[in-house]
Amino acid sequence: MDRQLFHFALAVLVALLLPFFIRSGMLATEVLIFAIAAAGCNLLLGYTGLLSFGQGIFFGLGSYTLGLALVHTTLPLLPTLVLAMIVGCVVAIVIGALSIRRQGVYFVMLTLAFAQLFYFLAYTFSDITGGDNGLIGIPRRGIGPLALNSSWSYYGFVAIIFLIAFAALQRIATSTFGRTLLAIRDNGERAQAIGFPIRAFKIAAFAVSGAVTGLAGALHALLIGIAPLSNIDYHMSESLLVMTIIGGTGNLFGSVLGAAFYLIVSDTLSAIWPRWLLLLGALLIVIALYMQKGIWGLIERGVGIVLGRRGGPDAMAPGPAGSERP
Amino acid sequence: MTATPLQLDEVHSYYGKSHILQGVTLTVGPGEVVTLLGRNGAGKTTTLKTISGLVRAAAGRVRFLDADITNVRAHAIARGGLALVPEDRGIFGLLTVEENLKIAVRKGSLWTMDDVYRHFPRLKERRRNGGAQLSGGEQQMLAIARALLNGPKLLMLDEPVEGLAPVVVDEIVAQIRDIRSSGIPILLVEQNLAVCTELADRHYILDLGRIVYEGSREEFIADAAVKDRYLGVGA
Amino acid sequence: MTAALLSTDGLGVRYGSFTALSEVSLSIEPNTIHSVIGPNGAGKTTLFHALTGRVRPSSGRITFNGQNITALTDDRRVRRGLARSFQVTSLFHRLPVRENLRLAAQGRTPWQALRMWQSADRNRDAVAIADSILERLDLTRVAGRSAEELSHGQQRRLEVGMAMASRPLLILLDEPTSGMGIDDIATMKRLIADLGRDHTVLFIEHNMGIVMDISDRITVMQSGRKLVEGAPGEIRDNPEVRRAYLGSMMTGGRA
Repeated sequence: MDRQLFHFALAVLVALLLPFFIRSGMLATEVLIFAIAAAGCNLLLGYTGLLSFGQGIFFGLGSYTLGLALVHTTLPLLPTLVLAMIVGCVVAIVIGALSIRRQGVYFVMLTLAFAQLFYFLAYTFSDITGGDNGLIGIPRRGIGPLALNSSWSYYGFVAIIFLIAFAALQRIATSTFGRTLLAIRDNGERAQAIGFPIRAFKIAAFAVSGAVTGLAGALHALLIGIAPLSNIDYHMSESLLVMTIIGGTGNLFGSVLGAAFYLIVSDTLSAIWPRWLLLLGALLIVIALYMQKGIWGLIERGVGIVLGRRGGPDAMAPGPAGSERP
Repeated sequence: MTATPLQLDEVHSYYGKSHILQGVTLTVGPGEVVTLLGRNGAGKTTTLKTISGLVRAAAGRVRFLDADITNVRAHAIARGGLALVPEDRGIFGLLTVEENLKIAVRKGSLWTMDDVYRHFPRLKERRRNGGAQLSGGEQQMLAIARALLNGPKLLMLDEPVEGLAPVVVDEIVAQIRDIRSSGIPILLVEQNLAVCTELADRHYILDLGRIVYEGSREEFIADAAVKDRYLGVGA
Repeated sequence: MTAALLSTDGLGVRYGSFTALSEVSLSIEPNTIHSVIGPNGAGKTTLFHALTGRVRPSSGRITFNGQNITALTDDRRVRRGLARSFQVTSLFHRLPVRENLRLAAQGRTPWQALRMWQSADRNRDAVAIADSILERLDLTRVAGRSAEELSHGQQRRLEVGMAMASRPLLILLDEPTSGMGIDDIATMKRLIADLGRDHTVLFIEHNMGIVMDISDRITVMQSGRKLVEGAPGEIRDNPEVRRAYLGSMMTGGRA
């Protein structure tokens, strides 16, 4: 079975098995929602080599877009989701186009600056966004005759969208486009020198990432019935990055693992220890030092040891930017 | 018997996978000025860097005063008295001339700050100027003075007169001659032939990572064919 | 006389107050092998940067295949048929050799690569070009290995291959034999001569053996200017050239 199909099968497995391991329909749905967002983040980080601290912008705008559409208009659900993707896409194009004018640390800072900008915009325009209180009272509209009111029926709906989004991202990542992004990450200067207008490609990557992250944000607002300010704040951008990195930037399924791990662990630990974030910080340090391929990398290594072979990593796999190969 | 200041035997070194030095063998004897010539790309700077430990020698041996210094750490080699004045001079732009000099002073060196100021009056005049404010020639003098304050037992100079006006070149050549008369052996990398023939006892020519010629001052001056072949565009 | 494939008129490049290139006027005939040589600081690589579009000229004009390309960025010049290799090997190190070449072949028609739904191997042309170049460079055996695993000689050949893959009219090679051992140098020399049969080649080299043997024409540069140009025989005996390399006065060649 080829790698792509195998990972998709794993994603299906996750979607099917989550309800058995997680009591709360809300938490299970959140895992899938953030898996989508983390995969979108991975397209920029693992595949294009762009560390964007602005993912929260698209997530939050997705939430607000859906909120405003469902509260103030009679737009059906599916078009609303598409609208959220469009908003995420367009804003990502603008922010991406501006941020990539600088490289490295300055690029990162630009995305961070934009994140702060949008946070303050959301805070200030409180008549639209609800400011600190968030945009409340979002109805869980159904699709035609299908009601999505119960936790698990909504979970089913999100699971289907998750699998479609995952498959779509896989398609994109293994396409000519995806391979070009890998080349840009490996050696942007050379990519330009062999004829690729790398700016355009980076912006396209932002566009896809923004659309996918906007979708996730919309699904999240629909889940909790509110578009909170926290969906667009810096902490959201940071969490999305953390999930992506923990899971492993080597492939898209890693992002699913990262989101699952982060959410399940925070849910469990926060009930036990108020200072659980300390552990998360320590984990990040361990990953940065010893586990650069994240949880997926650990699993790969484990499986490799168990099966007794020293399989080399796929030469065309994405990975942490700047990782030194032996 | 006096120790041989510098001895290289079949030294190979790489930049990444690029095989720059492909077996370099040369000697600098006590009190000698020896030049290392060659077109650019030949590996002259890489040779100096390999000697001073900035580039790893993949094979062969480097001996300094009969001690094996192959792949010894650069700062240890410098502490042992092997001074390199690199092509970019390495002046600390944010420090003044005086500060640049002071950090190089070492006890037991034959050269003191006073000696330096006597030899390089221009540096004395500009001692409170920032390193970055000096002209090319002044920076070169500062770099050489700094190397001397270290009390070197071997001095290596990488293209000391490149890009300098004729008058300044004359000054520097005179200073190098003085250093030579104080007994310090010198390995000089230089593309300017007139300067080389003025100063050197012996010449080596490096081409594509190997020594292709060794000759005394007289032999070299007389041999036009060699110069054309390895330094010019080939006879 | 055939029209020049590439010509420059008063080309100049300034970095702040430093003039790297000034008043360079060149003319490269199609289907020739043309080399650029010169002592240290002559501006050869800066010339390449200006020709390929990596650096914006401060003055002058570049005409390629009848069109003014002076303002075009480097990726656009590739699409017009101008490609280069780098002095310091700059490959996609973590990607397989075949992928390196496929990308280089794809670079001629990059907009196709925006097709997010299409698998990379569906572009048969690019894959075919990559395979044919692998053959020509004798790299088929290592096609699946990642570029960083190749030997230096193989990497330098791949460097040239990357330039060939976009099917250019003019290939610029920057010190193709740098850091190579004797055997690899001989292979590269044959490759360049072979390239000259169906491409126009402009290359920078320090290896005078190669320069004199295979060049149709040689341009000698010094201190950012064109000093002299001619056939190998003329250049070899030219006293100005000799003086540029060997110097005659007590200056560093840059009075």
